[in-house]
Amino acid sequence: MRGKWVNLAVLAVLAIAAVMASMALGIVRIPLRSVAEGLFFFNGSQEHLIVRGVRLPRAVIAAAVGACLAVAGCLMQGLTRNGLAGPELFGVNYGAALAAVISSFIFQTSSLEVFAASALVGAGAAGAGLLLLGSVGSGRWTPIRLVLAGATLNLLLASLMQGILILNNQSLDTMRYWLAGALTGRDMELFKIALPFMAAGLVGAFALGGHMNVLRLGDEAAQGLGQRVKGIKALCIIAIVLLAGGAVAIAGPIGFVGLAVPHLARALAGSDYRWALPYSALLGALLLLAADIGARFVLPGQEIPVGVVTAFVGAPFLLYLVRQRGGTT
Amino acid sequence: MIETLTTGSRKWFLLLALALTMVLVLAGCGGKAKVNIAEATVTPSAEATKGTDGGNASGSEPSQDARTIQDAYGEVEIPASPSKIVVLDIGALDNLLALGVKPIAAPSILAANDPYPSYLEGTDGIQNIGTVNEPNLEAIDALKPDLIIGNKDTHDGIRAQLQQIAPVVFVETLGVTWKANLKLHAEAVNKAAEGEELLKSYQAAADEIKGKLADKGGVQVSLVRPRADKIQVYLQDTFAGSIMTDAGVARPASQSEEGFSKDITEEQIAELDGDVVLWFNREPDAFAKLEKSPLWASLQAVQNNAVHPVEWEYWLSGLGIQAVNKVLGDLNTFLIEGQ
Repeated sequence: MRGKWVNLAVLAVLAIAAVMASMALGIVRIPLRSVAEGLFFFNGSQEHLIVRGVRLPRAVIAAAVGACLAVAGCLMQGLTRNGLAGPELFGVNYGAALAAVISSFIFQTSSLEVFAASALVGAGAAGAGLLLLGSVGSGRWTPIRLVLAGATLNLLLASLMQGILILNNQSLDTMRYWLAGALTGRDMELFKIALPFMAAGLVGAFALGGHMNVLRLGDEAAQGLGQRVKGIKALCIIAIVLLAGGAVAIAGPIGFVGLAVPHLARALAGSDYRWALPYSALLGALLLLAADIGARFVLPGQEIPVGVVTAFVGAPFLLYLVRQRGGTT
Repeated sequence: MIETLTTGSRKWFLLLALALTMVLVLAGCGGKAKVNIAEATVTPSAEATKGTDGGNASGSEPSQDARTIQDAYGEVEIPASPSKIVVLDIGALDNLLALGVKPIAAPSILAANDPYPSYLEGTDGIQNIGTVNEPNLEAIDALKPDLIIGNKDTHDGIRAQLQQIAPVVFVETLGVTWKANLKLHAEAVNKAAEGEELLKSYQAAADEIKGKLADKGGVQVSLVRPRADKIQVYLQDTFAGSIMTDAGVARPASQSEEGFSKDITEEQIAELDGDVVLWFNREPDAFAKLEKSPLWASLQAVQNNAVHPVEWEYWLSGLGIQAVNKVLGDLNTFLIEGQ
């Protein structure tokens, strides 16, 4: 118990260090001292403008998005009892992306605010669709049923999105970068749009930790212990939609954080979800911050979308996972 | 369900193979997108055609008064005075119209059936044949042209098919080579003298601006294309950059390197500074985003109200002599009259 608190504190310190590093490192070199001065004794210089106006929002957003994706993934993997589940699997990401593509097509815009608002709507619609699909016919929401419904929805939404992009070159041009998942050019205003959803999702997820422990025993056992299984699952899905939807709304569909981080979190925290969920949040923030710093240095003088970096880190991890652990949760 | 994957090493191997395949597919996606419709199946018949009539188009009648000109691939035999010309890019459309020749068909820049650039006059009745990147070969064939004008950079992959429709004249590429393109286009439509004339009056106009700028002691101009995800700085070896060089327009130190363009991020906005900032793009809202950055307000040009939007249709996508003259006009407006 005490060890877990210590670990959590260590992770929190590391995450704060990563936020500082994210503000100091980049194409324009800024010494740590100037970062601190820029934050606390702002004097309007070019360096301070970069720290406050560009890097601080970016670091905060990276931490929040990483945490949300990882917690959403942790909930997903618990809910479906499938170690290969991630927020990508529920159609939430593509629901959000499809809505953003449609609004870029209709409104002829590349405004991140418009993308964010429509992505939130799209994520909500995909979540509602999933709940509906899962409820069709008789029977309970078994893990496999949820996975299949989610995967189907995901493919359907993805193909609709591709169709629209192919129809319109202009949308493709505008959306290409957004669809890879990126953190450049995001400001606090944008963050404020998604923050309430992300915060609600995080609070909800942490509150669900104890219930997830019961649910992990299997539907019958959980029911036997007096849990309203269906209600808990519905709450879980809503929390996932809030978390993943909020994250995608700001940064586009960043992959692999939601898949890989929960495994690391459980390796550190054990299978108690009351611990695994906050561990996931901190590890997710840490991973995305690190990936975002990496994205600034892969190509000299240029930045690549952070989603590409997480995919490169995540793909080998996925293979390792399948080989080592057989994906059991 | 997942456990089964690890039971045999064969399945593990399969998974690896799958991952490798995906990497290869991704690598393939990185290449230049080009029209390549069924080239493999068409090429043999194209070879056969070459065998019988020595590479001439099979679609057109062998004419007695044919001319031979030199294009990006070598010698091409074309009709002495072609009358049904299909152009495959906006540079050729622009140049031909300037030479007083109206092509029968041309593509749109972004999406099929988009209107032609509004700075071009006399485009009524020109049939649309898709986009510059994906011209519709069937539509071209149906028009029975006697000359097709395109460029190697974009249309190399469909050259064999086009040759079966009509004689094909390709310039090397678009953009910075616009002078050579105008000469070849003029030659192709048998108006070489008119082409030279156009170049001469351009040179005179450019020299006039150069002289006036020199009198002012030089004006440094930053040429910027704000995009959804980054800020692109256009350098010397671009269409617009080459015209600016001819007109004696100086660039800020950070932009005077050679090359097409370079990307910068929000953090490097300081590099955009100059006496004047000219910008163009075709992404709505991208400039509004740039403008919102606290760094943008710190630029000299912004504080001096010397930031001007210019029309992308001719600064970016025009690529012919009419676009060139429009660019010169803008330079005159913003750098000489406006200062």
